[in-house]
Amino acid sequence: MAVQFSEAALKEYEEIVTRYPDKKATLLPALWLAQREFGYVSDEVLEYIAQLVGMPAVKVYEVAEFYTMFHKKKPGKYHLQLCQTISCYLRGAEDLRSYIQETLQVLPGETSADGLFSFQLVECLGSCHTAPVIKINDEYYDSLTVEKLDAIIRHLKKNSSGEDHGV
Amino acid sequence: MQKMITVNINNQEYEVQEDCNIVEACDAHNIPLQRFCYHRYLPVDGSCRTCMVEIETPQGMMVTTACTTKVKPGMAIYTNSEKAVAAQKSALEFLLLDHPLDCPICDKAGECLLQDNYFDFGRYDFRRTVARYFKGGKALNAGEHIVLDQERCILCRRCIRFFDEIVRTPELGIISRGHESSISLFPEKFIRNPYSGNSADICPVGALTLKEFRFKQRVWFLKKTKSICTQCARGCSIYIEHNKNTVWRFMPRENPALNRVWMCDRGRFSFNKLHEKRIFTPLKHQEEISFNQLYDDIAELLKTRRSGEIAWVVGPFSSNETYYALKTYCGDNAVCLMPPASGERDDLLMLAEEYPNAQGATFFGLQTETAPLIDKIQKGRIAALIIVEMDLFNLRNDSFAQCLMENIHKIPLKIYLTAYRDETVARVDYVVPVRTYAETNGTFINATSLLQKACQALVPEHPDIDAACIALYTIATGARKHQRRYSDASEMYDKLRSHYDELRSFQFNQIPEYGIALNMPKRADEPFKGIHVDFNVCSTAKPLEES
Repeated sequence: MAVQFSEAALKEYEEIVTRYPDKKATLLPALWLAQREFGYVSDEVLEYIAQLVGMPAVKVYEVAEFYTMFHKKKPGKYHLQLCQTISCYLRGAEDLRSYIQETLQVLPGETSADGLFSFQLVECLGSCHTAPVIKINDEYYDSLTVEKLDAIIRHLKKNSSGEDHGV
Repeated sequence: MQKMITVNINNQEYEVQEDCNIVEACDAHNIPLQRFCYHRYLPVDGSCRTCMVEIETPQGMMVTTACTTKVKPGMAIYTNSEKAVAAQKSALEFLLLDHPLDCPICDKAGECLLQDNYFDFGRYDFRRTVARYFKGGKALNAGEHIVLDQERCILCRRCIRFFDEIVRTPELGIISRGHESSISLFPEKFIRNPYSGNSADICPVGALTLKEFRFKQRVWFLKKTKSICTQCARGCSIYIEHNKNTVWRFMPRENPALNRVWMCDRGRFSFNKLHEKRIFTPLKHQEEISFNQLYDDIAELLKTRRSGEIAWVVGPFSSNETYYALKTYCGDNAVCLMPPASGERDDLLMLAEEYPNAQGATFFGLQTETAPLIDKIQKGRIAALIIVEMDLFNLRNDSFAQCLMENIHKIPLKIYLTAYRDETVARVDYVVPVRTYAETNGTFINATSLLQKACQALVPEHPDIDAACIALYTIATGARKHQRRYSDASEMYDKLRSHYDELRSFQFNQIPEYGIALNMPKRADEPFKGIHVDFNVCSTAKPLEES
């Protein structure tokens, strides 16, 4: 098999196994671990996880397809998750959405041409008191306005061009 | 015997089996109740939500799914109360909401549960005002035999349960969620198990269809004839489904003690063989002659031979009637060859012996020891060899076939009774065309000693073609056509049954649908050995095809 967990990830998985009476119960944590490890869960990764967890590949595929937070395609370097639930909506999430769609030229579910940004609409991120909220990778950016978001995106673009990103 | 309890359905008392669920209780007493996901030979799933009934509970009246609710003594069940009917109708309406309604081009039309239930229980006004949502996923290649139309699927999970629980090769799953959910394979994988054809049978709609049957025939034109599968010693009960003298498909026929409602792909897709390489005219040294001349010639040639000089060779492919004719009319030199069991086998249905009636040969006490006959052939004491329905010259690794190849020149007359133009045809002097098992009545005994009948489905191309048992009788007795005692193979059965206690009380047309269990040693294990499936089969329920 082409894909495989690193030794550290494998060790982490072994620890997860000890938490449950049944190995099948480790499916979701294993998928999380895989997404962290490989960036996304490709078909190849799913087959690897199926083997690891001891389940038929198609059952793993069912689970990975059910949950929208597992990426089946490679996401951008910065994965923008815009909350579209009511508090954020009332506080201007729609403006942020049109801004992202126009400036980055991505629709929800897409990745920008340069591979830097992917965009996804999500349900409540649990930060209504600071709405509207965008989660970029694992970071929350809250109480946003279009101007603030613009500054963040400029910053991210600048950051990535500073590094050798290869794009 | 299962314990019976009394329940109250629609204000009437019924005796039902303890432990059955409400769907089964209704089925047992012909109370109409719609269902999609419930299947008698699969574990209960409760995913389609259409079999809603209202039951009385200590907490008051409750609307629930009938298939997931077991009956209790004295339980009050309503299938036609206002609430139950409303729940049934709305569940069905949801299933039909995004269904593509491409019935005119769907192969399932005519045997589709969605159609049937809509007519029986549905509401007839279409209420949708927003645009229909189409899932897409049309005519996907899902395997060697299966085509998947995701948008026709109603997500009953029957196919998933069948692969998971019966064949135990999980290959299908449901992906995405909400109205986008659809049945899917793992990306770039295909259904590969040897029972895949069954998934199309149990699909209540046209989501899974057979490549071999797609766009071939509308199901309402098909006539169903009760028969058996002859591809292995299991002898599964099947229907031969035919129209215009052509077989269009084999469908498993319910037999609780044998194949339940399943059959393997090897058997299912063998139906084409019935029309391939057929032989319809008699041959004399490879030249076509008439049936009259054929039987005259053979009678003339055999008349001068003593019976000890004539050898008869049959295989485990023939019907009981043929064995009986061989035993009764053909003297002592009859031998039944058993080719080696070389087929695929498993714990479900498939057996390695790729022939249907080895048990029949045993039942009629046919000689299987070939050494004496080999000896006679080698010494040139056999003047005529009559081969019955077995491609003898195509048998590899068989000592008798080997001997025959080497000593073929020592036998002056070779006659071959066959339905197919195979290798042996070119090696014999006379070829007597006979009917296939689909063109005549006959009985077969399977590996677990169940005698079943195979009824005539097709009319042979040439009216003078006889069943093998009758051709054999004609050759052995030298009878002219008008002198014959039998006009149909079933008459041969009716003759033979009087000799056997176990069969005496059954005329051919009275042989039970599920067969007659004979008291003789079995050649193989029972089907589905060691496979426990948690389904309830009510013995009082009607066979599937009628419900």
